[in-house]
Amino acid sequence: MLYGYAGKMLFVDLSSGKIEEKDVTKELAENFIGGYGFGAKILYEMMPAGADPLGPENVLGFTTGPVSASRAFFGGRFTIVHKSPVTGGWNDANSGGYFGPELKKAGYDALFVSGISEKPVYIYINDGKVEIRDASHLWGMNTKEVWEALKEETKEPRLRISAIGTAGERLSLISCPINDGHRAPGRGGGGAVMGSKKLKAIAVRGTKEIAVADSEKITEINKKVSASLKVSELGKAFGTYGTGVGTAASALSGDSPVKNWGGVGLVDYGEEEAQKLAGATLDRYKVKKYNCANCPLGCGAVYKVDDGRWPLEETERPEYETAASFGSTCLCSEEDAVLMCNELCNLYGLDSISAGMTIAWAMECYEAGLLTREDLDGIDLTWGNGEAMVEILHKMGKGEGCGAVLTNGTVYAAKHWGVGEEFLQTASGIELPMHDPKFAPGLARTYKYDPTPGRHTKGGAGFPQMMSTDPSKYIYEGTGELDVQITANTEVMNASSICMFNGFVAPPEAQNEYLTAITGVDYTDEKKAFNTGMRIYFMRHAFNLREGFKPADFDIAPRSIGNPPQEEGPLKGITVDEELLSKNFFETAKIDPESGKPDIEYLKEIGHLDELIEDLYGVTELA
Amino acid sequence: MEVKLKFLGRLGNEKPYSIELEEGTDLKGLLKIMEDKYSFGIMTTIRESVFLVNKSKIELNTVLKDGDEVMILSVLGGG
Repeated sequence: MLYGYAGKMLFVDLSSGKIEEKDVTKELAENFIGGYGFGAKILYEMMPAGADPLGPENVLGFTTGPVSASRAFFGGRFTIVHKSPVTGGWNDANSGGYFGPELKKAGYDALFVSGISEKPVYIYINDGKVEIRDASHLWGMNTKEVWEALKEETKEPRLRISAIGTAGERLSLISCPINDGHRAPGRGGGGAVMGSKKLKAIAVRGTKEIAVADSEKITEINKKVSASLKVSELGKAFGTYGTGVGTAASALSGDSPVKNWGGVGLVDYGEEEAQKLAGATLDRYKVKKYNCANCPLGCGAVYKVDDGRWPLEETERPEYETAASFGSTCLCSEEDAVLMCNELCNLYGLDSISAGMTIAWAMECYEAGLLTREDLDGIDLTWGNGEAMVEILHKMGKGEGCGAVLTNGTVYAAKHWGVGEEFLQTASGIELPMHDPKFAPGLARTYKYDPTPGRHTKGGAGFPQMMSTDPSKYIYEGTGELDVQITANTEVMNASSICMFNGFVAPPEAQNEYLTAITGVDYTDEKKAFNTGMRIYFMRHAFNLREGFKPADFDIAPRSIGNPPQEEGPLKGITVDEELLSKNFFETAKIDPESGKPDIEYLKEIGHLDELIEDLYGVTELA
Repeated sequence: MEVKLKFLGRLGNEKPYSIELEEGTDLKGLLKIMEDKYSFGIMTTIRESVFLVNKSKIELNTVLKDGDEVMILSVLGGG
């Protein structure tokens, strides 16, 4: 009996229409936990090197972890995995809401979709019954329309879906699926992968209960987490205003990028402008709180916008990342425009980080005269012009005019127009997220070298530095140990499908105690938890190695690491020693900085990576 | 001398106010005085904040001047 798992994975080949179930083996569960741990292992096995990210060989996974659909708090997340059409390497992106737990209750820990359908389809999973259904009538709909149409069609009012909008249909490289109307595994082009497969949506309904090893223990940990949450200042802040509670402060402290990463909050944006997007300011539109599945914190909210240029009967509170990308990064403080941009990303299925960053890049090109008003279909895309941003975003969502270029992100647009390469703010081709490494220097290593580059949700020394002003964070010697430890722990967190906010508000031991109570496998054993985290890390890393990536192929935009340093503001004079941070990480993780190959003895010590050792070192070394 | 305190971020609900300080008080001294007004939890948040005066970051040993406006930005990650 596998506790904490539905016990089955679903494989759907859209080219042949073949639907197959496979058991989750004890070995897979114990060694890779779930989520992108399963994803990395399965995609490494199923996919050949060099597969076209938008071709039939790319495998798109929707994965859950043991914490999904258990009674443990913070278990609302799921993760999509695939080869990225943006970076050409490994991709994972996670999302909250209710879709993940519903998929698991419908009988599957994960769904892997390969092939390409001839016509638009959706996959319907209802308590173990799986169908590939025609979606011709859904093609062209936005993500909320699809949800309503499918609830009606399936006669399941409690149906949960993950669907692409028109951006994904048109293979926009910054498109993503949206679940529950407003939650997104946004990053890395998952929407384009779905679109390439002609897969409009996954629709799930599930009522099964997942057996856990120690139900009483889960109750006990929940009580402990509740008590901790009650006294957590951070928990109160996120629970009241959501992730946007810090938007205004971050725009001024140096945490958020300003003016396409080239500006200084207090100088270029200003206190008054920053305050307009503060969580407390925007929350005057709040109608009710939104909690993901089994979440005691509830950082989401439903808004009703009844004034401004774009009234919205029902929309969602923008996340910090969204408010910062359309806000300080574009120098925009027009709240109705930022709320509308958030809504449009949800409807069209666009990654709000890359969308805002792409507009910011175009703004800088426009200011420099590299892009003309003619290039931008007559739109006057000056800094902070909310009306122009909304107009451009509509074009990106529909793939019209200049939007057909911009909808593929900044690297594509710079190549297409042959301008603005010097203004790209990317890590290995993907737009950087909204936390500045000059503020939290450890992020430089994570953004540049994580197997999924450019993510604020991946582990490393930068994680605690985002909430710290201790000047010791700018000491670059000896960072490897901490960097690797936090990375391994974050791998366990993400593979478990437990929300990052558990780690912010719960006692630090709660994560692995939950995992232990749910699965019956002792993850409170620190060595076991660490090795499992590193195993998952190396499995993701191996995907990139097999694609031919070496460390030298990874890059990060110079502005983000203070090259050249800023001349004023709170980050004045700071240049991050990204090279030393990375050297430290590679040394501790025993990765060769030239080839990127992990040390064979270390891989053996981590264990259960025979396939990797064989591929990297040959079968004789394994013996 | 008098300095003005402004709060953004997690403590954004706190209204700005002015505080009377002895000449030569540094940021560390200001924090010590603030301990009388705030709970331990809130003081922890304040101590983790970025402090700006005249658009520049100040450190614990920065001496405050009459009329300074101290911006207290309680930092956050995530989201």
